[in-house]
Amino acid sequence: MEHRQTLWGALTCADQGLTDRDRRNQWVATGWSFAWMLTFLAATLLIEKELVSGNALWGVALVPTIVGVGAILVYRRFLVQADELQRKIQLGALASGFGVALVGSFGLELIEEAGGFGFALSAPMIPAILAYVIAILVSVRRFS
Amino acid sequence: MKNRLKVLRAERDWTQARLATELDVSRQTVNALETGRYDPSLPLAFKIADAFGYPIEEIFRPDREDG
Repeated sequence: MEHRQTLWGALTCADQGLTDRDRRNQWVATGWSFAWMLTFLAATLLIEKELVSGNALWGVALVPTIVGVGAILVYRRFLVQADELQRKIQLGALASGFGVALVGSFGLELIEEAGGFGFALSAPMIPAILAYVIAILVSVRRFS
Repeated sequence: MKNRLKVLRAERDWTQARLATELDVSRQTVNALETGRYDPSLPLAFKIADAFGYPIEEIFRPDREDG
């Protein structure tokens, strides 16, 4: 039976013969991740353009975080129920991403103090996400 | 660790997808096991032994048996 590949699956090339359970969980996790991104972009737009004010502003600011927590829980369920090789690949990638975020945060703080460069709080997230994606690609290639 | 997975699967004329379904793992996992790139957990090793009807030690053996 042919299955449509999710964007996440295409990105990781990890949808090769996934179990039905993992494929279903992957679709759900991808959906929640997109929902988080969309709510984050919408909230950023609404706040920056000053389209909301007062109590509504707090609501708008909180929605992406609530959706994000949902995405974390759904991803965690995917990880717990995942095929053991898939779990190994994901955990390796998460370790790389987390390490880069941690080292990057402290490193950028030092650079900021030393040179006066200002970095956004989310700056280390970009290399962290890259590290996660690269680690996934390397692992998938290694185990294929 | 070395294993006889590919031979045992071929003897039964099973595809990797069929074995993956039997074991409730991905085809990628079966492929990684057969090529020796990935060693299974103990529960999965027992599942494999059960699927082929052999004891674990007749399917898997360490790279060096000098221990």
